[in-house]
Amino acid sequence: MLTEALLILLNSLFYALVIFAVSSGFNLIFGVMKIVNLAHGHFYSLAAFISAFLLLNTKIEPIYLAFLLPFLAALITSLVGLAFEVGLLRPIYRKPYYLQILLTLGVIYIFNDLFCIIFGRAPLQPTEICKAPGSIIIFNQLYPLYNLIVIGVSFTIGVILWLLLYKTKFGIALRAVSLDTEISLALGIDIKKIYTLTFVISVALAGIAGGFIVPVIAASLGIAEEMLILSLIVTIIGGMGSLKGALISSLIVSIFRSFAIFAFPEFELLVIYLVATIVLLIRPVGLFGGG
Amino acid sequence: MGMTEKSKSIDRREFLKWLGVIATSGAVGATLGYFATPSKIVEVEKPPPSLKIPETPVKIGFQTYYTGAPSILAEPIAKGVKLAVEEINAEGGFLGKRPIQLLEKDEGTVDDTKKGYIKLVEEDKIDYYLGLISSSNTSAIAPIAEDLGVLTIFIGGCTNNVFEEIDKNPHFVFRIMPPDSVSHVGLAIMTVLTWPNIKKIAHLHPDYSFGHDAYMYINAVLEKLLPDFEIVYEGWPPFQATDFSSHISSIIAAKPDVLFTVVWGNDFTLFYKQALGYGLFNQIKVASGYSHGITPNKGPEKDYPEGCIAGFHGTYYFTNPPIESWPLNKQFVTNYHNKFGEYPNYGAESGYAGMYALKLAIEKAAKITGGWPDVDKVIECLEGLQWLTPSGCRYIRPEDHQAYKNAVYGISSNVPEYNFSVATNITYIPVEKIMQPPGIKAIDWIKNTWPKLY
Amino acid sequence: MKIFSLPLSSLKIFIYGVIVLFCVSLPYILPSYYISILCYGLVFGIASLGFTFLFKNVGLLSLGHAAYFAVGAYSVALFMKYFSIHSIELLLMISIFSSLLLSAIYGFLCVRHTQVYFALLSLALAQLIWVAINKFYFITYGADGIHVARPTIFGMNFSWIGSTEFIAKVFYYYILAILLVLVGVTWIIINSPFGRSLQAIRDNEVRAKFIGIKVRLYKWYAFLFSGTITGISGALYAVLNNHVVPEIANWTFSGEIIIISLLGGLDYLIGPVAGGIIYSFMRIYIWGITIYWKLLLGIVLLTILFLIPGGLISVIHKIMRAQIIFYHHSKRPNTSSLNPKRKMKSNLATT
Repeated sequence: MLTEALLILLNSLFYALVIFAVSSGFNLIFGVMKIVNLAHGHFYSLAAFISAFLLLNTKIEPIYLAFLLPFLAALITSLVGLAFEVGLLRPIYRKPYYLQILLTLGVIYIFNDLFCIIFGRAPLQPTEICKAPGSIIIFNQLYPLYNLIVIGVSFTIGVILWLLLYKTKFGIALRAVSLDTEISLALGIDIKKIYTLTFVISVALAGIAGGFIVPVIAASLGIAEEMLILSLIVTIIGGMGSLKGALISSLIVSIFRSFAIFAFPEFELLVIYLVATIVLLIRPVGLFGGG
Repeated sequence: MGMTEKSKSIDRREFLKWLGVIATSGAVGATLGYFATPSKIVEVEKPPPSLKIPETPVKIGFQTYYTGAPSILAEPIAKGVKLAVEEINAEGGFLGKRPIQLLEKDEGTVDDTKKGYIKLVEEDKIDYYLGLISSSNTSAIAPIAEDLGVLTIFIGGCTNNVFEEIDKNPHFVFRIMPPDSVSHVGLAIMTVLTWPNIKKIAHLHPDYSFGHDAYMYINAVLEKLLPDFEIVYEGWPPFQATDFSSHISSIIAAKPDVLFTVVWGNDFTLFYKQALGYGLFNQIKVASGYSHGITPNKGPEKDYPEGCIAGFHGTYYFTNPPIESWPLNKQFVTNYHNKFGEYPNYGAESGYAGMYALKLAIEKAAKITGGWPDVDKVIECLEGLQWLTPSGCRYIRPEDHQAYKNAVYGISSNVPEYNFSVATNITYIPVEKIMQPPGIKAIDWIKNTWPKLY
Repeated sequence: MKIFSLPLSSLKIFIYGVIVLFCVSLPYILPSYYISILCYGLVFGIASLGFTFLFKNVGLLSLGHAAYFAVGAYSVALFMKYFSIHSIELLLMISIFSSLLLSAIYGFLCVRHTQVYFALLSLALAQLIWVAINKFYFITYGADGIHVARPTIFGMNFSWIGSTEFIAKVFYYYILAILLVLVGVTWIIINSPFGRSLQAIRDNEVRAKFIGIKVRLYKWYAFLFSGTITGISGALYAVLNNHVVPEIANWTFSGEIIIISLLGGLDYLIGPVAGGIIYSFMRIYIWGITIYWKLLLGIVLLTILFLIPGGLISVIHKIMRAQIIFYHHSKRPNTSSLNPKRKMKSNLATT
């Protein structure tokens, strides 16, 4: 029984860190730029598609070099994100919030079909890289090593993010901007640069998550919306503008989901929404929110 | 398997006797089944040229998923239909005089499909309609078809509800693929046949009515066939789920003997690839209703474990009937492969069969009326029609307009001729054993009339 | 612009009369098939009317209005199926009640939040409805949906008419009547003291609170009204479509409601309706041309946001203004001068 519980916890960790990578980017964009980027899920799936495409169409030996491909996908996605920020978001920075929401809503529709046109409608599944590392025995059960690698990568990214935000000058500037844009401007911080960098970093985060998870879950058209809704729920529970909140609520959501699947399989979907509602009733700004 | 085991488990011989199951060796006989001998199927000759038939094309409306997740199962239906249309038009069309003009529309949400259907009927003025695979759509379109009076042949959309509740006495509506109950019941029977000693059962089905129906039917059958069994786990991933890892871990933790699953399409591919990493197949036998149901070339690859029960809605697998003994299948598979570069799945075969049913009914009706038949005459000829198709012999029941054929299941294995996992040991289950007679709901038929086999 | 006085009232009446005559005689001019598309447009228009009311007058962007639409639609379907209620009057009342109930609960949860949080929460809560409809498939038949038979209107069955004729020649008038009533009620509310309070809340919540307006309570009332209108449109949809499926609760449909509002123009009371009609026809014909209609929809949305934020009615308005007959398009002829702030707020391209 204990080993089963531990395995379920491991699975939750796997998915939680992926959700965290995407939703922390979403949170960051809102905290710093005050923009709700509904298209964030689509950057995640864009990276997934590119990564799948690269993995399926290139034969790299030795296989461990193929692990660079998801990073390449994330890089390409970041460039797309850059173009997106400069082209579409800059004109609307000072505009009311609903304009941003509607803009990114329209972008979702466009991205949906664009991905269809570029990548086709069938899901892309590059499973070879998933099987290459093999499986190891954990807690008396077979467990794919690839999942552990993903957990490792996500964890490293999280640490790098934390270091960036709290131990570098750039991080200080970023946090300053998220607290008060006008004073930051008065202090001489280059807001435009911060905005752009924030957006690109957030998209890169989502891109790495997407690039690495694709061998496990396959790039299909539904993953963008699925990840968006999860990011929203995580943000609602954790509170806008809080990195710690994003991490903890990603874990909460993922653990609840995994245990629900194990114990109450009928209510898997409802559990997540229930948790969100309860949190909101008790603490409307989210567990760590306030920003 | 000692003597004590035998007394508790189901007696295989009794079971086989009750089923009347026929294995591959009797392929031809099995395909014809109980209800037809070749002599009863009369070839209808081409009508004499003197028959007054207009030469204008016949407009047939067609809808299926060309895009979207179900398209992996549904899009081959279009290919099967188009192959049939090509063959028929090569001889000049229906009755050699009227070519078929196929008007295609995408199948989608109920709203969109409905609008497409109505547009086909009212604006494009189609003569007949073929298509659909989604149960939501057939449930919605059936009453509309009856209302508008258009001969509508559903290829799929196999929820039992269509003819059990929504359209109990259909006039204009027909369906080619067997109802879902046949697929699920057959899966359960095949499983017990292959592994009679199972005790602990796990279920993994997509979380919508299709999956819940499978759960209901499979359990109802197991209750009649197995003296004692225990459901140790049930999992309900959403349709188009992407992450099965939690389900997989939970299934392994529950230690079942067998896992029943009707997860289909891309979801199934994802599931088995993920499950391989956790070693699910090492300890657990898997009975899948749809593992080999999509186009074989896109289906499970050689890494799919051998010895699992392979399903295709109980309808058709391209290797059977063997092409040496059944020329229709040989012709169909060869032509299909030449034209599309892949092998047909059960959707393609059903689409092909459906178009030919229409052709044969029109020919029969034309012979009776001596001219181009009106729709009621065609319907009359469709009812009770028996015709030969690549998968065997089919028969359309007059009472509920449902096409009737023996159910087929296989066992997954890897063979050198194909670079994907194939289903072998194809087993036929006589249709009258797993499909309810008209007038009674499938679930009631199983629960109330089936004997307990222990 | 305010030089139009008495001589034009008779012109106004004449124009209104012509429009009414036109609408009433449409089923006899156009084929029934087009009238049914028009009916869908009107129903979607009513749905967006609910959304627009909340957005324009209270400043709350609801990303989950599809939930109320679905609840209204499923109320009709479920009560007809399980309780054999066939009277449309009764079914409408049940739909009103259930969407009122849902709006009350969801409104309570949502109005404690503002702006972004409100939008996100409304989205998440709406998804809950979608999940519930799919989950409780033994009642709702899940993805298959529920078939809706023809209800009786004023006790009459119209069984002698086929379904397309029923839609075009009978139900069309019913929808039209309800639309007119709802537009009228909305107009009255917008111009009432309650409506003014809402606009005050929209413009500056803190100030509104300081002058004594019960901000949260009024927001909640507005939410109730908005949700109920969309619920009524859902009920009409159930009858029109003969079928309800869970997809009408999904956020993609909420997005479509928003696009319809923008398409027509948020400024005008008939904007959502115009948007609904245009959208309905667009969908049939664009969907007929290309499968990539979402791409086009997205481009349309972005174009509107950047180029014509006032929607299509505003374009017509501007053209017509030059010809001095614009009154018959804007059913709120005096508001532009009465409330300059609204005029500014309505232009999405400026702050």
